Amino acid sequence: MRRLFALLLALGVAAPFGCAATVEPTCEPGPSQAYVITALGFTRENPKGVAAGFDLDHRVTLKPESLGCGKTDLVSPTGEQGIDNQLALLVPDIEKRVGNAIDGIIQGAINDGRLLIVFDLKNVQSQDQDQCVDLEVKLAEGKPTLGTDGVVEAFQTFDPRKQGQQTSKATGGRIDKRVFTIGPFPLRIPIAIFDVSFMVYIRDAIIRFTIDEEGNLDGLLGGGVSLDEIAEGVKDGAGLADLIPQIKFIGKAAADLGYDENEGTCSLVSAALAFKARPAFLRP
Amino acid sequence: MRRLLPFVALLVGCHGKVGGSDNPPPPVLPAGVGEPTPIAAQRLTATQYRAAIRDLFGASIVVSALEPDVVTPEDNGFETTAAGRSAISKRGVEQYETAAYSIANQIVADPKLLALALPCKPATVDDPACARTFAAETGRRVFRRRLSTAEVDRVVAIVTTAAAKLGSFEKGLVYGIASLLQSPNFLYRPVVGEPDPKDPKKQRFTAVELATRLSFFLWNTIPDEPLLAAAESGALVTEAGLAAEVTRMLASPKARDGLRAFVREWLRLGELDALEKDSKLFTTYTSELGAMAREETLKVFEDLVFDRDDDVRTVFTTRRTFVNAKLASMYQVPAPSPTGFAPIELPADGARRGLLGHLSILALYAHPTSSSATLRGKFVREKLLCQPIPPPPAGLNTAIPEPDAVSRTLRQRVKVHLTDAYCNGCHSQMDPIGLGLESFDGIGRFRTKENGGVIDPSGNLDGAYFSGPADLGQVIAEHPNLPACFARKLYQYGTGQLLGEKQALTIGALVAPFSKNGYRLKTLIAAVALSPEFRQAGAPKELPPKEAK
Repeated sequence: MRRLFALLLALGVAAPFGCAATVEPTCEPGPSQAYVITALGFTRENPKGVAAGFDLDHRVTLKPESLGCGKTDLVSPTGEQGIDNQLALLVPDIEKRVGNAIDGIIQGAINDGRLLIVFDLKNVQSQDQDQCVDLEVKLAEGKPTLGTDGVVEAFQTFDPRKQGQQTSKATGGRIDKRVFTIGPFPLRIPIAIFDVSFMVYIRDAIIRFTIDEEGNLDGLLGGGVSLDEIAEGVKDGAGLADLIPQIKFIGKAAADLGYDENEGTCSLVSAALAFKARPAFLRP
Repeated sequence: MRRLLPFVALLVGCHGKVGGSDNPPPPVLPAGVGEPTPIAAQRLTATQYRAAIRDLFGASIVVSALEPDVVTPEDNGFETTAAGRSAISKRGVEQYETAAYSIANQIVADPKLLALALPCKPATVDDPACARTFAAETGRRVFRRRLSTAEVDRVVAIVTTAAAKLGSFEKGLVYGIASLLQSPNFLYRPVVGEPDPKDPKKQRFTAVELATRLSFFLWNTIPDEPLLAAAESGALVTEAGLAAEVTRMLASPKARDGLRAFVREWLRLGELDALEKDSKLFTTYTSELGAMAREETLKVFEDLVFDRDDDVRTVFTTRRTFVNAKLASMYQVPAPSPTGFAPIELPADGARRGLLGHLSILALYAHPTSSSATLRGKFVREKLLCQPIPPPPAGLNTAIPEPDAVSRTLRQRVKVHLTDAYCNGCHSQMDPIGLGLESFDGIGRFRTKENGGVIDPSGNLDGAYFSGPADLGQVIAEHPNLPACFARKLYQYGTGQLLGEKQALTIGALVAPFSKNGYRLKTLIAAVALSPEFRQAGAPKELPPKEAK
């Protein structure tokens, strides 16, 4: 179970990667501003039936039905109906089994520079109101400096991670009263765990965050993930074969998206991660 | 002594106006009409001691703790001045002894260092000839002059006696080196002067005294061999010889160290090492940041003066600065280099510009928990414009109100300073300037709001309006007091002298060539070094009352 958790964790902490290179920016050219994620964590159900996330399938499922594979939707903390975030329901159970270290592990990876995710907002005319903003999600590397509060300091300069194409791009984002929203768009996530590394897709990913007066971000990232793909990815890992049935079982049990009419099953688990980010610079 | 050097001419009453048209630049007078430096033995500052040891015996020598230089407000921040006015404590004397033996032991333990200190091979355990060579040659470098026969004899006796008792020439040498390093002839810069041949009624520094004086002024360390040779040959006391040495010394990389020492003392940048800030309020401030900030400021001056030889007033207006990754993040600009410092141009539309945008100044002249319009304004008045502000009356409550819903910004909260007649006299000269730097918080980070209130950084300095910190830099660069203040500060640093009205003529004479040469600081440095007052030795200082008893 601990290794399974680690895989799920890796899903959460790994960064978006090489995707949709053919997407062309559509906005009027304007200034760019990069942000580095300084905190990232799973969202949780609290209280029952309430969790942060997105309405990924654009439907409100109040009672079990086939399109949602029997999963009812949640309500957001602000009262928004139709929230798809089945992963939030799994996290407490996992924490019971492996200890409440999830957030600390993720924070450690950010703070020591192993997990530097950069949101590069392109063509920003105004941080208050802008109907067309593009986004590139990149991986960076470097040793971040932490403040006395233990958080990665703002306005640091990082290098883009050298390996291959590491950018996911999305166009047509918008800022409305300092709230940025973009998506759905495809994100690819690199997972490197134990002795295997592979890609996981986040389908129909949505990113939404608020921009405060100091330029800091506070928001959510969500979408659908396939635990079958994770199982496929780890199949060649030494000693990981015994995990595959567990992963597939959880995937099947928790899946609520990607309904297959022929099979009558869902293939994706809805997920949402909360994050905070601060302004940063990325070297060309 | 303090009574002998009143600041009558410098003191600016808080009820009067300062700067502007009421304070015209000093008259341009021929050089040589001012007051010479009184004869007094200046102690080497801790920094100078370390530099001297480095240049004598090598950079690898570790110098143990020395008594810190205590600088009083009367010294205007200059350690060089303080070192000529303050006494060393018993503890300080012990530290000199400890350091001397530590250095001596390090030298004899390392063959390469030993070869530098001992220019001969002892033929016997207590070889007197080799001891004599050591005393004469190494002693000359340590004392920065030739030793008298009696002085050589004393060192030889120490070395040979110790060597014979301990059965090793090197062990004896430890005592010889330690004796040199504990001598007042090393620890101080003794001066006796001599009659000036051009005017026997006047005293001048002897050639070797002048060599030491020049060397510590221009390099902040001991004379090198060519300078000592020029002194011993007599060339240094000729106009041409002195000019040649000044030119050579300013072209030396060591001149950068000299400039850095001046700027460090003038702006009190040494205090950045012990700067304390509230870590809860200022989460990006670390104990290392002070040293980084100091390095930025020193690099900017070094670049301006030696690499670009530009108008030094541009230090208040330039967008060019040097940052490392940490400072770049503090300034919200991309780091130009992943490691170390590198030059950058600050954004043209930004508020940060020149020296007043340096974190060193903004953090140093602020409180541990907040910015300070008063401290920053006082800095501008006293350090940049040479307009001293008297200290607040004893017992006065100088606290300003805490922010509330009505008074959010510092400008709103210090209103009492400017409306209360009792406070207004002094604060009206400081706070309006400091409020121009309120766009930067207590550690120099840019901000537009304070406690939710929008900051208004506009104001005026002696009648010149500024819209914000960048503008304020321009106003200071154009202030009529600035060139003379540069001259005054540099002259005080170079001579270690407290300046009073008697030096006004000298300062005025220095400003003329400074102005004529486009306010290039190298010109001013050379003018100070070549000025007759720099070479002339005045009457001995009157001893302080306590010591005179």
